[in-house]
Amino acid sequence: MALNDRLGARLRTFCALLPIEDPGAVRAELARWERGAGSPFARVAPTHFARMVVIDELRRDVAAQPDNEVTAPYLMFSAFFDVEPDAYLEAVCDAMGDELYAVLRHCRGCPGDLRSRGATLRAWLARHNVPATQIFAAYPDASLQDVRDALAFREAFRRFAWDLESRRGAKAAFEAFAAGERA
Amino acid sequence: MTAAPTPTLELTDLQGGILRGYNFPFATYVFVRDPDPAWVAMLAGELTTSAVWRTGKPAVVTNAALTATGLAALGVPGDGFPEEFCAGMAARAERLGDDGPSAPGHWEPGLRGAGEGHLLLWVSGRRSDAVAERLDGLLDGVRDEQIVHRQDTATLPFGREHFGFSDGFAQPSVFGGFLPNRPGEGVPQRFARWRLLRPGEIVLGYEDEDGVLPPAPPRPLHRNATFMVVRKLHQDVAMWRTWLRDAAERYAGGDEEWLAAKIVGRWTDGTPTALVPDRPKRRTITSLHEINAFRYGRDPEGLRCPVAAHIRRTNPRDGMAGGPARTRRHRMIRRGMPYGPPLFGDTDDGVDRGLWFVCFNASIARQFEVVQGVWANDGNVFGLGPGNRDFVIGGDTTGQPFVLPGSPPVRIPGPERPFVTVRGGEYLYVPSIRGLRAIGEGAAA
Amino acid sequence: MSRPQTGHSWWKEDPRNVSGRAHALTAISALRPHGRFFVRAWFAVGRRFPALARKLRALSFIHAARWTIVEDLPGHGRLRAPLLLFESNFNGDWGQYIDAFAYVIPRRMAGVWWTSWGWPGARPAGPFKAYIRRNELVAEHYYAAYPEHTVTEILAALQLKEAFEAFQARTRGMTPAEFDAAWTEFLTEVQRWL
Repeated sequence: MALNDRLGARLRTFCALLPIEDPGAVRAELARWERGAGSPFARVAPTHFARMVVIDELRRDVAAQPDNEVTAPYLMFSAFFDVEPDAYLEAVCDAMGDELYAVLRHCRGCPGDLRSRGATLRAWLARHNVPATQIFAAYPDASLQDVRDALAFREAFRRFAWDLESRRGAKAAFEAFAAGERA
Repeated sequence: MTAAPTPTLELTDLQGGILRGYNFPFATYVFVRDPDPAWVAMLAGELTTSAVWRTGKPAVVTNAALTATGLAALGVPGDGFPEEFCAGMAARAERLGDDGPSAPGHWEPGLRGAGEGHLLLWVSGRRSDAVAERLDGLLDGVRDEQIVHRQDTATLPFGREHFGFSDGFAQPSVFGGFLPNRPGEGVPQRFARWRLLRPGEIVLGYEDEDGVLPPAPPRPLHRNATFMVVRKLHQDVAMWRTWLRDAAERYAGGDEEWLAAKIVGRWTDGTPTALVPDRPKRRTITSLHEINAFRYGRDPEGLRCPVAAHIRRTNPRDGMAGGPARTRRHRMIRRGMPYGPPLFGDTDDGVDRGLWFVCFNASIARQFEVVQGVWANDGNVFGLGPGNRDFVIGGDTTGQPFVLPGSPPVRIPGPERPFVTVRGGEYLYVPSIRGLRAIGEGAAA
Repeated sequence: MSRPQTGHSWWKEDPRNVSGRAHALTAISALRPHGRFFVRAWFAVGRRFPALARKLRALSFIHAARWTIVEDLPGHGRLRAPLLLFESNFNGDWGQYIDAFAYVIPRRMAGVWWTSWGWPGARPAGPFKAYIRRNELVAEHYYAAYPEHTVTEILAALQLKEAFEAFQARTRGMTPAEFDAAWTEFLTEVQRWL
């Protein structure tokens, strides 16, 4: 099952549209989630970006169009990551299963069984996936670890490079730096 | 996009000194609180317009503007006025990068960016005594305690500002203002051409670069008006000179002129480094027809004019990814002047001096705030890194190095104190002549 | 409310859409019937000729973005008018973001959105921004893994690391004197990424 277009990149996406029974409860649960570094997604290692959006009405724009076709609310759960989508869903359910279930149980058709929620939840989410039509990625081949490593490296290299301006013995210093980086 | 024909501007209703600078050596700015509406209506008749002078330049000229609190005090409702204007400059400190010693908490009384002053009256003239006399005449009837701030400004010898740079000649030329289309002042086009900027970028009620009328307050304040920013920028001249001397000695072979030119983007006489990157033969470009005729497209690495140079950051021309299309909505007209006496030598004398910065634009948020808050305050769009600030005006630049591109690049440690500190400022609305009269007569309520 | 809480200011963002320097934009529009074919074709052409994305890449403020044509809604069945769902993760404020699209790549923007109901055109930017604003949603939860780092920084870091590794390999056998010259050259080459 193709969960999204591959397009030759490491970056993958997942996007599920889940019908909501109780939008107020969904919002309330999501409001409880910590933001920033304490977010549940921070525990899901391959996550670059993730969002949970409540679509409470699919309102069409003004002027000459068909009437609102869909008035029921939906929850959009979308993420950008750098592993296979199956593996990602597994990681999500393992690392933040509790928080996720607390939200998803207000969606119609969510598997109610807490004990076996891992596999059934994943399957249910996968069934509600909408495949991507097009993806754009600025650094499509970099994993999250690659990004973090590169950023850290750049910090260290800047300090080293500017210092070196004022010293002799460039080669030795460089080798020491490179060895330090490899470690 | 081809230029659509624009109606000629109503110069008799637009205040003067905006589209064309007066070029007077003296100007005094006075903030008045709780002005009497009748006095305001009277003032409307005393204002100088932007009509072309037929009988020669007058000896003194007069202009006025209002803060958001001033409009409220005169009974003008706030709807239709932009949010940043109503909030005031102090409330925008985070966006503008006014932190550390430049934070609003340190600003001078009467200029604290929250509209203590209601009406700003400014008089410019050939002689300082004539300016003072005219002001006294206009302020007759205004009590002393109503004057919350008074700022005298005066040009320095040779039209320089306090760091020694020739300033103020790079301004956008606008359609309909009877201004020449000098190369480099307007919008860059193909084949090295330039065109005038659409008037709606500066003057409300006329078409802007988007081809629509800019958002404006309701009638009768919707036309021939503009928004103004004043900002008192204290310059630590001693710090600048000392730092420049030391840095030039260690990193530029003692050539202070060269280092300063790389940091600012122009040599002190105004010659742009984009055209004259080094100066073995003392080539000088000061003619107004050439001094702005350059682009950055051929210098993406900043080897001629560093990407971090002040004028490049504040007016990137075609130097941003996406080209001039991204920069032409962020131009503004600057009419500031130095204040305070010149400093001789490099020891601080404790005297307040700097630049009384003044600019005019149709949208403070889109124009001034983007230049100051996004371009000068944060280098990310230029690839200089988030949080990287303009070395000259970027507020608290303490310790931030300046990187000189080259082979190899050189990193110069920054100053121990910022060169420029904000001492106060306000956002203002500059009404048309009719508009100010209507406000004074209560017809704009 | 899923609509952004921004009051009168077109450029203000709902804080829930922002994490550090990473901003989320989520927008849904409805496609006219022919849209489903045209938009897919438009993207297919873009994939076939990657150089078309050159300008978009040069703008360097989008980390990652995704467009999805939704034909079937789970629990509702097939939609008469398909939806176009757009999500983006970017740097810089919202106004700057939309401005850049409207002024730099208006044709590409139009290609994606012209079959959407209500699309006013990419230029002038005012109505375009208002259109996005009207069709925009706020994220109840938004997470970015490296919120303080911008796209330009990340690209610079990745390129720097790659250049460094190549330099290391190149200079392995050099004498200190040769190395000094090579080092100056290297530093000159990578200065834009420092």
